[in-house]
Amino acid sequence: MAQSLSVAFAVLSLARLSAEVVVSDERFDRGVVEIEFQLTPEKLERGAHGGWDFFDGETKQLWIGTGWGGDAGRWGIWTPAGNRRDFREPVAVGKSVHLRARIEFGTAVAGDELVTLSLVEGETEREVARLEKARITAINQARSFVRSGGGYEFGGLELSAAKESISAVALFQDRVQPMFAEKCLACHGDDEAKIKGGLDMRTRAGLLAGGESGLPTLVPGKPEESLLYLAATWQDPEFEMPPKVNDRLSEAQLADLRNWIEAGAPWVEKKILPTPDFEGKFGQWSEPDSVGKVRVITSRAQSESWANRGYEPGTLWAYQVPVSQKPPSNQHPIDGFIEARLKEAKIEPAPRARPTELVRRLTYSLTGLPPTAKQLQAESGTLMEELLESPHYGERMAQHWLDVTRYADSNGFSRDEVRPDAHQYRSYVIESFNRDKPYDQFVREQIAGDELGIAGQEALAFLWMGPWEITNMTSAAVARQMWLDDVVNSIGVTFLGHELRCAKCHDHKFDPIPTRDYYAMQAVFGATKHHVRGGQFKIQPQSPQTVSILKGGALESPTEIVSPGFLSAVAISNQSPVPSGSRGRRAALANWIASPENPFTARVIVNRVWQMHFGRGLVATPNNFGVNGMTPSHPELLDWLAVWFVEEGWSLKELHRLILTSETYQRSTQHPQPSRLKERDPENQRLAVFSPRRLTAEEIRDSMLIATGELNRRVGGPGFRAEINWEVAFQPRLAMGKLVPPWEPEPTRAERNRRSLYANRIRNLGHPLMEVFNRPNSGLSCEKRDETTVVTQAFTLFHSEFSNQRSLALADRVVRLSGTQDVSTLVEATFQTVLGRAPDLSEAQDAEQLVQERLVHHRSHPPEPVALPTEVQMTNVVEKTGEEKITTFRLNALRNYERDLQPWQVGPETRALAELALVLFNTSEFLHVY
Amino acid sequence: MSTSRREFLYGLNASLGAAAFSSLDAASNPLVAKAGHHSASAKSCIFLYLEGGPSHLDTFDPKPKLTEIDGQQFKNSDKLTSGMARGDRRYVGSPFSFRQVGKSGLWMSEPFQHLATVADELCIYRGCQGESVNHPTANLHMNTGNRFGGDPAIGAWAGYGLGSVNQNLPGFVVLPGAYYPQAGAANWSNGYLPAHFQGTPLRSSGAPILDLNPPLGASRESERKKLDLLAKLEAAHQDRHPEHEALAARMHSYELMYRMQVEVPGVLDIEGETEQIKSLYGIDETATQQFGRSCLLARRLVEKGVRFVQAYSVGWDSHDDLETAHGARIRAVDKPIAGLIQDLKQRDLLDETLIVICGEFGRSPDNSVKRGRVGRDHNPKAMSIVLAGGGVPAGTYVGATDEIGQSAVEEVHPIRDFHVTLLHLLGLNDNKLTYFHGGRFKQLSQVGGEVITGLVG
Repeated sequence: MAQSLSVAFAVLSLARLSAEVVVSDERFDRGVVEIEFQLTPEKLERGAHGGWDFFDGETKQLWIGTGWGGDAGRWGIWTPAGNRRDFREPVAVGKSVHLRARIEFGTAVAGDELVTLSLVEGETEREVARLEKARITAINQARSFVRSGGGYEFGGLELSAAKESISAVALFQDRVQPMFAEKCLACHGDDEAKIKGGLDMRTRAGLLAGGESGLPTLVPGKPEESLLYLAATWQDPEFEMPPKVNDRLSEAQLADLRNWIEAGAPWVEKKILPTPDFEGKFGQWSEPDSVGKVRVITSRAQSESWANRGYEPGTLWAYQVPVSQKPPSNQHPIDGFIEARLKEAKIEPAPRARPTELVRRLTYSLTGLPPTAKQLQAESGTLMEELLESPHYGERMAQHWLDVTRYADSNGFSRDEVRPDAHQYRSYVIESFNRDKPYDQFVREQIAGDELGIAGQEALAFLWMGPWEITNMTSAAVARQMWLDDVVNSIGVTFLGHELRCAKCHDHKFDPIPTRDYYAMQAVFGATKHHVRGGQFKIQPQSPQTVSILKGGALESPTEIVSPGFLSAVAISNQSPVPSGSRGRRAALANWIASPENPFTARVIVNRVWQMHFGRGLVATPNNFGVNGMTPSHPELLDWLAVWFVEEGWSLKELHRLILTSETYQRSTQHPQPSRLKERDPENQRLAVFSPRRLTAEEIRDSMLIATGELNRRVGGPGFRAEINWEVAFQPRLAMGKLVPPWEPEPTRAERNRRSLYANRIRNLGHPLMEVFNRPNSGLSCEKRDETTVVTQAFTLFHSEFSNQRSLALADRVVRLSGTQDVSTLVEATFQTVLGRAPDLSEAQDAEQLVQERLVHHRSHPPEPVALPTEVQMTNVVEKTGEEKITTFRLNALRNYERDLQPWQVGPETRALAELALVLFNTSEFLHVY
Repeated sequence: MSTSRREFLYGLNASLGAAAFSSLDAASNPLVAKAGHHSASAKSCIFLYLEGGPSHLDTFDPKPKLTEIDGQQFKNSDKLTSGMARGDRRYVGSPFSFRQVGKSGLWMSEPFQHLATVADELCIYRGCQGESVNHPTANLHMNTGNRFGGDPAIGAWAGYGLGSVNQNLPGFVVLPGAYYPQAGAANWSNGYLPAHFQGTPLRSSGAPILDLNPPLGASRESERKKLDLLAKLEAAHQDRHPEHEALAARMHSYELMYRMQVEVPGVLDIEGETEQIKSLYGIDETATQQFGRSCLLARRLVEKGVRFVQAYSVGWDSHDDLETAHGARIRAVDKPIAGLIQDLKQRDLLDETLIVICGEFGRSPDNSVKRGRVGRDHNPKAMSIVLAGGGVPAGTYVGATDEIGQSAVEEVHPIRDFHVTLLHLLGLNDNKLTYFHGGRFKQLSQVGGEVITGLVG
């Protein structure tokens, strides 16, 4: 096979391009474009892999690759349907190539198949994010392109033969002026007192006058002589504008700027749309303007230009009520939607996973625990029902919910007081999931269970789950404001998939959320008191306090008083006004969120559940459904699921049933044509295969305890003090200037060996095993666990006392149950216990060799008993003297400590076998779900 | 699938030696040394953090006026900033005398004896202002730019922007004091950056890194045998799962672990240093032993290519008994810091090493009346930040506070501008050093900031 050769254009020189565009159908989101162009590659790059091609919406470069599967020397362009068109043209630096491409936009479009992004080897994560963003931009531009009749930039090709040309004045009004407002005026006009570099860009006269540099800033007709243009191109390091790399103008914007200057830089007064008649029109969109953008009617914004801001309609997908389309085939509805997308890309789905793989996948999916020997033999439908009825189902669901809501058993910050009641919230969440409480009710209870008379403080604890910083150095007003900020943002992130905090100081930079709405949401809590005493919290009604918009988010600058309200861009019919008295405000908010008409609520939770099973949501940013979040990979499926979920009575168990019975869920992780799959869908967004995942930190610990037979399966109730590295337990730390007593684990084994979910979470105290395996800290809402691989994981899993004690316990269990000293039998039993399978011949041989060799060592090296410490000394610096002082703490819980099995308590066979167990606990096979 | 491709994951922010790269693409290692955005005046940074709120008024910012009005009643109209500013409060003059030192004539309080000898290397910045009156939030603000935590620390950003010169050591090392600073490990968090960029605390006793070594009694030989078996099992598993690309990095992390067991203790072993050097840092005296050791380790780590070292001196929260308490704290760091500066200088490393000395905030010119005791409360509106080396102008002041030191009044900049400046000195542009997270590009300064030009030589 020919060596694959990659070729990419570093830059497509616009000057050397000509293009012809035919738009055969101008209907929204549908069209056919034929482009014919001449281009000259400036640079060829040889890559390690086959070619890549993508349209980079940010740099406006169309990358065209070649050389897949040995087809060196052929050109390709991805069409919207995912078909690659090949062009047999020679490639050489400096040689022109004539290309003609036909690009079709699919029917239901979303245009998102216009581009296929491939990650170039060596791209950093930041670049991946940038490309994802570029993809969204590209989708939106594709839409604009079609809608505007083709007169818009596409793929870096400035289409000179566009059907509809845009006049210079319209260009200024619709693109250049809004671009100035977005990118320049913050420093060059918005605040007269703070104009930078002496350049005022509010008027044409200001631009003509220029700034302190003395260089001509705007020379009508001559962009190359205008500093305005030159600075925007970032060619001269002295003048790089806008200064932030992420604010840089796109190629298209630069082209607009250039064209506008070339056309003589005509200026018209700022185009302000007539102020909309707000009443009853919240959430409505205007007709698209000449560049396809829509205005959204919201409550009154702080800035007029914000109110007139246009949005690409595609970016507001989540603001539209989901509409259920008929699944494309008679299959399982999920498979219908998924396979339609696979067909488009000409990717075959992978076959089903093996039955044992499926069982393991199911038990981890639904309970976070490995299968028992009996479960490994079960039929998957029966097993699924059994697991859904298991109390461990609620624990697995709760784990994710507590990640999102930032559960912890202490306040954090200065005092880090223990929250004695926090566990009631955890138990409430577990029980709610186990009883399959309808999700809309679950929402209502956590926001307004008291007002609606359906739940008590245990559910309302959601409202104080975040970290809490309060000392006598913080004034009461500041403390209250911190709570209001926290609770509103938390509700936004958890239920609505929106960071509302972004609207605290100014109207939301990306989403149609004016600052007024942010404070209106706070006003909902104007009649709620958040009573705190130490670590105990209570949500109580209080006589209503007014809430004002705070200018710049500063408590010192209250402006207008606002009435309670919600997000005005989301209109819900029959929405009754929020009560102005002390009762019912939160109930109104809860009902608004839990309404089937709220476009976010069902989609957000359906997406979270999807992510639990597939590792990636249909929307890859579960906490961000706004303009800057990811667009759904399967928008029709997401909507179908959201509508179906509500119709099924918001039942999460039904949703699991539906997902888990799909073929999509049951596919193998392996594809029959892996290289083809890697080319066409490297991120597995189309779900031709099941993506393997690493166990979470909690699953690793729980699974080890299951293997040793030590797990205490008690569900719910107060948590336990977990075993952690002694160095961390005895690490001196302060709370309000005083040493915190050392951490002592539970004295009894049974308590220590409960599921990790119940391990007390003290915000200021680490839990190394949990942290190195990416358990999030409980300061920020975590939408998705990371899966990084770092060397500290090897340290922890290979050397920690916990791992080594589990290994010994496992070896002891195997020796006892096997009733033999035959190494080969013991090795096989160890494999069975840890990995659920027997070793193959060579594995058995290698493992037996290790055990035999270690046995020789252990026979001649009996270990000496090591006692537990009875006290610990900690050093503090005394505030009054500045001198170090040693304080001795007696370790009371350790006095009657029921120790784990220790090496000196077992024979050499067990110690040798424990070394094998440790190796097996460290295998990728144990640590991953396939 | 995606994770594996993006993150060829190594490190404890540390990682692979050259040999290990043979099967992996070097370009995909996030820790490989990278060029910054512009030429840097400092290659590495030693950040000496005096936790608790060192008083600028009793160290580097003398206020004769305060001595004059000592004992007079103080009034504060600002009710929102601090709950401390209540009750009967009196102005407090410094218990220390001040004198000018070095050719540059910088002012220093009397307890600074050793630092005075290197005064001409120092740049004292008095214009920085924070926002938080509480220790944890102020620590997080100074270290991560975000008062409420969850964001990456400066050292993590530096690693993200510049990579690591030494692939066998962490790129960001923390040397904690007697106890962890308030807000704990969040002060050296990687935040939303990949986990490799997290600060690694090195313990001063026992194993420097948690679980670095196997439990008691296990030999290096038994470790090797187990790793060999693990490697075989992993190879077979990888053959069965060629689709799972993340697996390669896992086995490499075990090999790196095996090497680090030797490398890390080697750097930390200061026994090879001469008695003269140990004495220079004050390691031979009880009062300075702890911080002296941290400063010496900082030098050794920087020499080995570690990009960012942060060493903590704790206990600077002198609400009462200022003279005794601050006096003792100053004496604990005076000789070690001076020793570090001298030592770096004699090794020609000072020019390329930026030293930062500061706390989370300064202290108030006033105090509530407490049985005649002299102390100070927290004050984020004024502080002294001392810089040395790394291309900062030496022997100078930048900025000033008002005549009682209550608030900065010249060259006033928020902490974010100070952060932007630190990055600038390291060759990084805050506006270009961004990471996409939670729907937007984030940066150390949160919202962008400006370089404090006076601090850039």
